[in-house]
Amino acid sequence: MENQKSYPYYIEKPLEYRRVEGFLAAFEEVLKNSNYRSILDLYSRISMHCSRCATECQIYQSTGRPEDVPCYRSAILIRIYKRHFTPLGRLKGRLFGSLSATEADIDQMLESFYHCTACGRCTMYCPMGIDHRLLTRLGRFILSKIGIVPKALAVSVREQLEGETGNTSAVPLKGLKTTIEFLEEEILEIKGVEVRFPVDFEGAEYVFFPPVSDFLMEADTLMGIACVLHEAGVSWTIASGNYDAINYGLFYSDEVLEKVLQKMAQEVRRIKGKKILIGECGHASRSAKVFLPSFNESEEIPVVNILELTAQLIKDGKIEIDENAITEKVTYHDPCNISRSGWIVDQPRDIIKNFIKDFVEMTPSGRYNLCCGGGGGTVSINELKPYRMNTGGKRKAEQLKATGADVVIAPCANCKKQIGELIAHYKLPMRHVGLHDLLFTAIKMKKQVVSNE
Amino acid sequence: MNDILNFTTGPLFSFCLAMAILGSLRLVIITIADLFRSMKTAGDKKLPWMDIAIDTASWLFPFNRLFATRRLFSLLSFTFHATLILILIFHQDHILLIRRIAGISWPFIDRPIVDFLAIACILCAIFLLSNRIFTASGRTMSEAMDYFILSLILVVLISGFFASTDFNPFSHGAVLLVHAVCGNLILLLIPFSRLGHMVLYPILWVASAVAWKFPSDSSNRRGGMVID
Repeated sequence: MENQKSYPYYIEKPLEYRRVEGFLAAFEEVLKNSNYRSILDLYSRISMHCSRCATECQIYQSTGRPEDVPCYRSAILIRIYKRHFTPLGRLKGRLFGSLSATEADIDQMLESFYHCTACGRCTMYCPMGIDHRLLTRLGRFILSKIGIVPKALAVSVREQLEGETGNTSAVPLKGLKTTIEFLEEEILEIKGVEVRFPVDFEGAEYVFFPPVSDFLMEADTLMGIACVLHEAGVSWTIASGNYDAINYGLFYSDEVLEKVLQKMAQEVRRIKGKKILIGECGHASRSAKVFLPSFNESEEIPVVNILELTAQLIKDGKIEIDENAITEKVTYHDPCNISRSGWIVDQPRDIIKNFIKDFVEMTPSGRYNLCCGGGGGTVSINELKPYRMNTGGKRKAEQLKATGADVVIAPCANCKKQIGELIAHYKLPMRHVGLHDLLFTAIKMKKQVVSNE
Repeated sequence: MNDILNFTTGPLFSFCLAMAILGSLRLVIITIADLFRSMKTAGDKKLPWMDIAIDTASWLFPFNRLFATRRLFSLLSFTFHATLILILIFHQDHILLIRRIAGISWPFIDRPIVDFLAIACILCAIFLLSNRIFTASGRTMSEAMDYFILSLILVVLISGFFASTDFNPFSHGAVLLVHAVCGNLILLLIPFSRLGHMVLYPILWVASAVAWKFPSDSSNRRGGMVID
């Protein structure tokens, strides 16, 4: 095994030979079957290498490594594209025999593309509008076709698409039902009201897809959501055939992205639901909201994030909240996948102002927020934890500390995990929660039993 | 010398200008055609036009986005682009050149103002070049072509400035020849280099938005692992 390559993350079947040849074949196949060629052509013509992105990328700011400059990273892929897949590049290659893709390029890409958290902040600062997040994702997609994909993501996706449980955390239906019973008992004990988590309620307005890990780790978030929906009289249900919104396809594969979304749409059709309701999860919300229409032309299924819905329910006066329930100093972390486009920035703040008196914004915040440091699927790759803590996470920890808050709201499963680890790593004097965790504390429940069934 | 100069500012300039215009047109047309082709196969055909328009416009003006970060760099970069465009379009000699070959003309900016703009533009170009040479991130990112284009623009600006002022320490004809030759080269490079951003800029944000619109029949089109 003297030629064995070392990878910065675990890979199921590391490819030892023919990596360059394989990468180029995969690149060619992707170009043939997608629309990426036109954007690669365009970016190769207009990339000015002004390095503005370098000053705003929190990863590069922490590492100072050239490979972590967004434009530099994108340039590797663009160079290989120009050299191998454009007529002029091929001609130059034949004449000068240089700039061909090398083993070193593969090593650099497989590391650099997974050092990037795909937060999209660099794109906000690129005067040419180059979407480095798109190119990082494309690079990962091509690498995945030669088997270079972190094992943590590959195993979860396989379980979700081919496994018995059909979800990324391998939570069986029986386990789900037991958890739901436990959550209902907890709500009854804490709030004194019987609240149901409906399962397979046909014709519900909203079919609820949380990140499935919430059933294992975020009980308060789920209880808060159930109380809000119950109190407002919303028609909702969990679907027994698919109760996982997580979509790692957003991070590395067009194929996975599509299959997970198709599976979600099928389940909504099966129980005759009208809308998809995504729980507190940034990437799951973005994948469903932005990409479901691409793969589900036959019928439009609206996608709503729980923060949007809760904000609207409060606005409509359907929920009563105890204004004095939360006395701690609270700050809010904007998950990149829902805030960067400006989609969900105001709604959580509209909710917060109703019951949190001591609220402090991070700097920067909203669309320009700093990533938690674990975006782009990297938070699920445990072997990257030291890297996550000491690069992008370091900047985030400094930002969190500067707020002086006791509580940080992170309405995203991935951000929660990363921020929780940052708090422990940097010994920050604060705790992290979901927004509905606090709502669970503050919501005033009427003494009634409402059931969809 | 006069014959060479007349050729450079006459037939050669006409040729380079025609190449720049036709080449740029070709670039814009093939880019837009690509976008249409992509949208034709896209499952989701809705585009966030308002966001695209705001993104495109916000970088054109020296407010918000441009000055959100690296303010000195932003100011000098904006000044470089703005002054360069003004000099290019409203310099009296440039207008005369166009009138000679196309018979059209427009008002020009007075010489003292143009000279001031030229000095500002030269200083900004020196700053941008220095930024590429002396900062770590600039050095990391810059390729030979980046240095070449910026240096070429600097040569055109400096030679143009000397050619149109009384402080020229060199031979007027030689300086003008350098200016004309390098200017023609820039025109030629517009469609074939990163200078293409001049004409492609209005399409950039649309193109990025379209790139996220995946074909609806993706699963039927794609294969699996390339190497098992």
